[in-house]
Amino acid sequence: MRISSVSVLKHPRESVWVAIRDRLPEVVLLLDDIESVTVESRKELPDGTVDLVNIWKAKPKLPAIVTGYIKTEMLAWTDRAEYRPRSYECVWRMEPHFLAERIRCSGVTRYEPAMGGRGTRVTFEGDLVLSLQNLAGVPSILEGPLANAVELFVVALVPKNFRKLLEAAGTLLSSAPGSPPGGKARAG
Amino acid sequence: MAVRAGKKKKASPQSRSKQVRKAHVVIVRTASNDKFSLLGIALERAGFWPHIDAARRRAGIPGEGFQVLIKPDLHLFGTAESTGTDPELVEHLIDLLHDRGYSKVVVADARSVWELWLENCDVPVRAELVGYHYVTRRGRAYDVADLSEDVVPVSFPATSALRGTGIARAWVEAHYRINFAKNKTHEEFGFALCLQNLLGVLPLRDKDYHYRNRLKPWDVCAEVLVRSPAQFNLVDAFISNHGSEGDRASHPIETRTMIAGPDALLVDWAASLKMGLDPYASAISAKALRAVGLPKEYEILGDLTPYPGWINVPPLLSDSVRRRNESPAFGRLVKPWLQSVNRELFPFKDLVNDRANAIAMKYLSNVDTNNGGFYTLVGLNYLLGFAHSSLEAYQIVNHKERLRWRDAPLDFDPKAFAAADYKAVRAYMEPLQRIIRETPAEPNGLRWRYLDGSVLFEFAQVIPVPFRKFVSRVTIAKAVQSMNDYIGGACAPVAFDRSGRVTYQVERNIYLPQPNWIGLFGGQHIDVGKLEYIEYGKGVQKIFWRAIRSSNGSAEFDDGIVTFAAEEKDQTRVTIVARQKFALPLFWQAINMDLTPKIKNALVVDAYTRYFRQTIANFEAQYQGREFRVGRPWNLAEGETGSGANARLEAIVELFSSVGKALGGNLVDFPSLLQSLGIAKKETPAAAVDDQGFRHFDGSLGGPQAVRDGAGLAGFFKNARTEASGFFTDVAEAMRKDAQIGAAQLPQGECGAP
Repeated sequence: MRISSVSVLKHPRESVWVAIRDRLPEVVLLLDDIESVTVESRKELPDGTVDLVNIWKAKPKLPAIVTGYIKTEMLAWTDRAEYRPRSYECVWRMEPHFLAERIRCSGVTRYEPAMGGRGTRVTFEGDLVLSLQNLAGVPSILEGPLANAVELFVVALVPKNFRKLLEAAGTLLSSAPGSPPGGKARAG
Repeated sequence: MAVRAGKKKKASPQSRSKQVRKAHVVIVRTASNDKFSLLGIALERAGFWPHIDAARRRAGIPGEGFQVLIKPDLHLFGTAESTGTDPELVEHLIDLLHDRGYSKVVVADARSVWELWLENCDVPVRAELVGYHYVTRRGRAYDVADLSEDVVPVSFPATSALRGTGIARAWVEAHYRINFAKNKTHEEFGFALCLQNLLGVLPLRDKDYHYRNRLKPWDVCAEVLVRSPAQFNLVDAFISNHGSEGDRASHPIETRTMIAGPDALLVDWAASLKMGLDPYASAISAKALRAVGLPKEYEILGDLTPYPGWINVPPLLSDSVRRRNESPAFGRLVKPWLQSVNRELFPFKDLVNDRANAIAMKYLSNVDTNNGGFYTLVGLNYLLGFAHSSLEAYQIVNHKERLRWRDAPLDFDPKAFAAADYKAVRAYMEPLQRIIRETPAEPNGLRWRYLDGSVLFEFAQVIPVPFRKFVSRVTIAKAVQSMNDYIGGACAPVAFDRSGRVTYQVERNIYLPQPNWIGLFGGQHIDVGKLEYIEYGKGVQKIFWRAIRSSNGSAEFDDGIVTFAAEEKDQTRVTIVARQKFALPLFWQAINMDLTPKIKNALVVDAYTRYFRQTIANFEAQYQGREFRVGRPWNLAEGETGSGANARLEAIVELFSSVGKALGGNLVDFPSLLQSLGIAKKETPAAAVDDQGFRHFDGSLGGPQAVRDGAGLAGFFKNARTEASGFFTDVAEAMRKDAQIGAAQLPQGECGAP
């Protein structure tokens, strides 16, 4: 299933690009439902491409009824990203630490100048594949509907979280010296 | 009026300057695909350049410092859509302005209600996503301003609907404002052109709540037009949007036309005629046309023949939408479901609206070719409208505290009246007072009689408070607003005496339907404009009033006198004399109560006795410093924080709460009806509520056997109604509590708040 989202930040492309690539651990401090992002590895190639592996740990507010069933590792994932400076594209792949073999999610994020160079248009596109066949405890008749429901939820959730991430990046950039007048930047 | 069409004539310099001075609108059309040239031609022919040059000279500012603001219709939810002004045309206009030395140009719009429901609806971001690039094709940079920011006070008069409202500095301080509207239909108002585009100048985000329900769009648009208008008006009709969903979805039609002129009403006049519509079809235009009017002499230059193939909104649909939108809750509940949206650019903030929109778009779109969708939509609209009017009628009878006040402007011009007109009010009322004073009183003290179909009456009561003390707290000039069931209006003093007390005054008073139960039969609010004369004597103060208009036709007479007079033993006598004749709903007109005078008289005595006792109680409350006015104020901060999800929840809570109270009250007292018809006997109490709020029911009631006998039948209905009432009220209360807890737990960002 295709996931897509467009956001616009009122900051120039270069600042947004650098903030998302290099200051992610700072950015996520502004998000309530992310506990941390840890840079596991970072490799800078001669053409300027940066290969990054980040470990994300979430701490979402969950209803009490499900907290007993959710373990810490279920809420973590590895994010493998390749930042290509020539095209201002980030090619990424997410590997969840739970049900890794059943969830595949990868895509590309494009950073384009907007608002006459004063802003950045960020287009997030990805593909999500869920394989919920033969899931323990789920009758086969419910596999289809369950997969549909989960997909529907994830397809709405992933872009929403990405927008929140960009919004936080905008806030971080606005708080920095030399931020654009008006101060408050928003990811749409 | 003159209409010129046909061949272009080369105008001499003399005739051209004459053309510029005269009020005019230009309609230009092309057969080519060159929209940019067409815009240039429209500006030339409409005398735009001499007009802006003259404004610049008057301002004494050079071109590069002369601030030009363009207000497009930004109602777009995707690229290449036709529900708003074409961004390419706006950018071309910026280029043309630069070419003439006007290099300081800003595009501006205020926030909209869509920000509550959709991502990326912030004004600058939305502009970027729908095709405004902040740099024109010829490299001229411009900015997009948010007219909800940096709001400065504007001197709207006390009689205005917009009293106390500010407007963005960018709009107020712009040296020249261009209103660039889209040529499109509108499902509620028939068409939405330059005048309606002015709604986007007003700062509050939830425009439906504030400018459709709290205030009225026809009042606020007329106010902006008069107090802070655009100097030039354009309608982008190159690709127009027609059909029943003019504002909701793109239904483009190639009309290849541009309409331009300095006068917004005249431009709209021509544009609506081109649609084949009555220019008064839109309530927004109708109000402005009546209040402001077209220029005394004007000229329409161009062809007024309606566009071939143009589809207008069927009146049935407009009427149903209008009824639905009367309810702030229902209107806002449904609106995000019916808008065609590019979800990739403008995703819904919550899943419920997203799913509801997907379903509604499947079944309720393209209603001009989808009969099933059309009638379903009309039915849904009427259903919601009926639910709203029923709940409001119920609240008028049983829960006045839940009604919203009516914020309305004065609907006539006080300058049209001279001092003699105010004095004439006293001369008119004094002989009527003598007639009623010499009429025998009812046992309860009410004097009344008929006069030309109106009811003339007097009621007096002594209040055990010294006169001086009483009048120091109860202002005679506010006496008419203190009458029972006053729900809103406007009041403005016209003249004062040497002590600074008001002597002449104008008012618009809106009261609940009288008697209240008339509201259950469709009786309307009483809406009356009045001239008032106030006199202050030793130991006596009087206010005389006379109705001079009723904009909704609810009152033929609503005239009177309130007197505060010193009475012996440190008391004050309050006397109310009034002459009233209110329009009856059709049902009661058909019944014709004049043919049953005994019943009518009994109803009159009952209604006026209640009315005046409550009015006297209001004066007492005012003296004691207690709140007495019915209803509750609007939330002025509505929509400024929070999200559409909150608004939807409020709507549902409101609905459940109202249904619960309606069932719990006596909207339809079915058990009593059964008893009065002799079908049921008087039942024993069906339920008792203990200290903890638990209801205890008699197990025998409602059972099969009990239902068969009379007491059981009445009890069954009452029992069922009590249960249902409790259910809805409890659900509403639980939801309200949950919402409060949720709001407390969620950080701002979770709600999508700015």
